[in-house]
Amino acid sequence: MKRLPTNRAFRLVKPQGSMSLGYVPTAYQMIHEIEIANFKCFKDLKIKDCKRMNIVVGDNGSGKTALLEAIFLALGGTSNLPLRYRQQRGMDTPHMRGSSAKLTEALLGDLFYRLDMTTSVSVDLHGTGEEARSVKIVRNVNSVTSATPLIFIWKDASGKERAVVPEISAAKIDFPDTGETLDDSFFFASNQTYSAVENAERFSILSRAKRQNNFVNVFTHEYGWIEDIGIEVLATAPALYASLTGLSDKLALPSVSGGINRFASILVAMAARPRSVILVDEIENGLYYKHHENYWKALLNNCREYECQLLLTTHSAEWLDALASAAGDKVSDIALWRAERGDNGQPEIFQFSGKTLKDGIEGGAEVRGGTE
Amino acid sequence: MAALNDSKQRFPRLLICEGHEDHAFFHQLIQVRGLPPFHIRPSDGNSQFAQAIAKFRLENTKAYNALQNIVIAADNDEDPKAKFKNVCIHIERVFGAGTAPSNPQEKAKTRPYVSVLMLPWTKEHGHLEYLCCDSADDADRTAASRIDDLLALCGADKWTNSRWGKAWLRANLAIRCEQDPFVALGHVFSDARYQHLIPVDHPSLNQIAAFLGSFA
Repeated sequence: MKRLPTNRAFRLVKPQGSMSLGYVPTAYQMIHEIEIANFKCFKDLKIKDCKRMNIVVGDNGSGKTALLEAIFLALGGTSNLPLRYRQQRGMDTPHMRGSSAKLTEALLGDLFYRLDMTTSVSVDLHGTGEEARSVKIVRNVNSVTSATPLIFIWKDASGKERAVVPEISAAKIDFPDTGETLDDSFFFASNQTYSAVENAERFSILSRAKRQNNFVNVFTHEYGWIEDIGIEVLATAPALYASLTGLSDKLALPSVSGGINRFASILVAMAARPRSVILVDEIENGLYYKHHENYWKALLNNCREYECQLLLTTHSAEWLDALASAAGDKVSDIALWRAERGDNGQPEIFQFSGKTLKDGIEGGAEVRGGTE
Repeated sequence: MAALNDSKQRFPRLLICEGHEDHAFFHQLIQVRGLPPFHIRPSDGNSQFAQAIAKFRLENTKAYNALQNIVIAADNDEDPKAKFKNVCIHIERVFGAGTAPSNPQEKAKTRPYVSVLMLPWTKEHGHLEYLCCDSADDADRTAASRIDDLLALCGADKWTNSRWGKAWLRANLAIRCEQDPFVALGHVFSDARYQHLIPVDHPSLNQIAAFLGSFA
C-alpha cells in the first residue's frame, strides 16, 4: 500500500502570500465551544468557555490527545489526518493487505467510539472566526462500491458543506481533501520530529518582516551560549542554525538540542502564522525545568501578541508550577481542563479558571488530579 | 483518633481554617459534639484562604461541586475588623467583587454559600489558643491558678489578649503534659493521650459548636 507522508509537525495553512508579512492585530477570534460525539473515547463531550490558552491535564488514557486530534480533524479538510494520527501514536501502516472493509476497519475503525463504525463521528467547533468548523464521518449508504465506505463532511463557518470520500481498497488508497484554503492550524504531537524546512520557512516570514528578534531573543536570553539563530542552506536544504559560543561554525538547531528545536518550532509557528490554532501534546517534552518559567512567558506573550489560540497537554507539575510565576496576575485568558474517567468510565473534562489554577498552584494543589 | 483524611467523602460542607492546629481542633470538636461532618482543610496562614479553596476545588472537584456551604475560620488576633476584612478579600478573590458577607457568620452571596467564623468569637480579640484557655483552666484549676500567678509576675496584665493567650496556654500544656511538655496544640486534639488537656465539650466552645451545627 501507499506509504504515508513522513511524520512531521503538520499544518493546515493558507497558501504563501495570503497574509501580510507585517502582522496587524485584529479582534480576537477563536474557538469558544467544542462538541464531540462518537470520536475515539468520547461518546458525548461538550466543552464550553474555551480560553486563549487552554491547558489539558489528566491521567494516561483520559482522552487528552484524542481531544486535540478531534479539534485538529475539524479544523482541517483532509481525510488522511486519521492516518497521520496513527503514525503519531506509533501505528505505522506498511504492507497492509485485505478487503476494503478490513482495510477501512484497520485504518479508520479506531476513530469511532468503541470501534463502532455504524455510528457517526461528529466534531463541532463553535467560534467567532473561520475556525468555527465541524466535521462528520458517516457511513456512505449510497456507496456503489465497497471501496468508499465512509464520507467525511466538513462544514465551514459560513455553513457550506464539503464532502470527501476516501477510496480504500487493495488496489488503491486515496484520502482526498476538501481543497479549501484554510486558516492556519498546527498540531505538535508528543513524539514527532519537526520539519527543518518548515521551521526555516516560518522563520523567513519573521525575518522578512523584521520580526525575528523576539523569537531569537527567547533563546539567546535563556541560553547564554546561544549567540544567534538564523537560516542557513546546506545542500539546498534550508534550516535554522544557531551560532554557539566557542564554535567557529554554526550548528543546526536540532543538533543543538531536540528540546530547544521543538520549542522553537512551536514559537516560530505562532509568530509566523498569527491567529492560528496551536495544539501541542506534552509540551514539556525535552524542556529542562529551569527554563519552564521563561518558556511559559514566551508562549503567553506569543499567544497574546499574535492572537493564537493554544491548547496544550502536559503531565508535568513543574511546568504547571512555572505557569503561576510566569503569568503573574494576568490569568483571565487561561484555563485548565482536566480529563478524567468518570464513574461510568466515560472521559469527562473538568474546567477551571486561570485564577483557580494559579491560586491552586500557590496553595500547593495537585492540579493534575488523581487525589479524589 | 479518626483519620483526618476525608477525601473520599462527599460532605456538602467545607471548613477552611488557618493551620493544622485549627484543623485538629475543629475535627475533634465536630466528632465529640456529633456535629454535621465538614471537609476540613488548613490553609497556610491567613494569607492563603483563596488558595486553600482553589486547592480543594482542584483536588476534590466532585466534592467541591457538591458543596452547599463553605466556612472560613480565622483568628481575630488584635484587630477583628481588619482580620475579617482580610477574609472578605479572599472571598472576593474566589467568587468575585461584591460577594463578601457584611459580617462574620452571615452567608455571603456566593454558590456555595460562604460564611466567616472569627475566633475566638466575633469582635473578640484573640485566636484559637485564647479560645481554648477556659477549657484548659477548668480541666485543672490548680495548674491554672499557678499559671495565672506566673504570668502576673511577668507583667502579663499589660499584654494583648493574643500574647497572653498563647503564653498562658503554652505554660499550661507544658505543666500538665507529662509525656511531652512541648506538645503541639494540634496533638492535644488529635492524640487520644492528650485530649483531656483541652476538653472540647467545655461550655466555652458551645457557641462555636452551635454555629457549626447550624449547617446541618
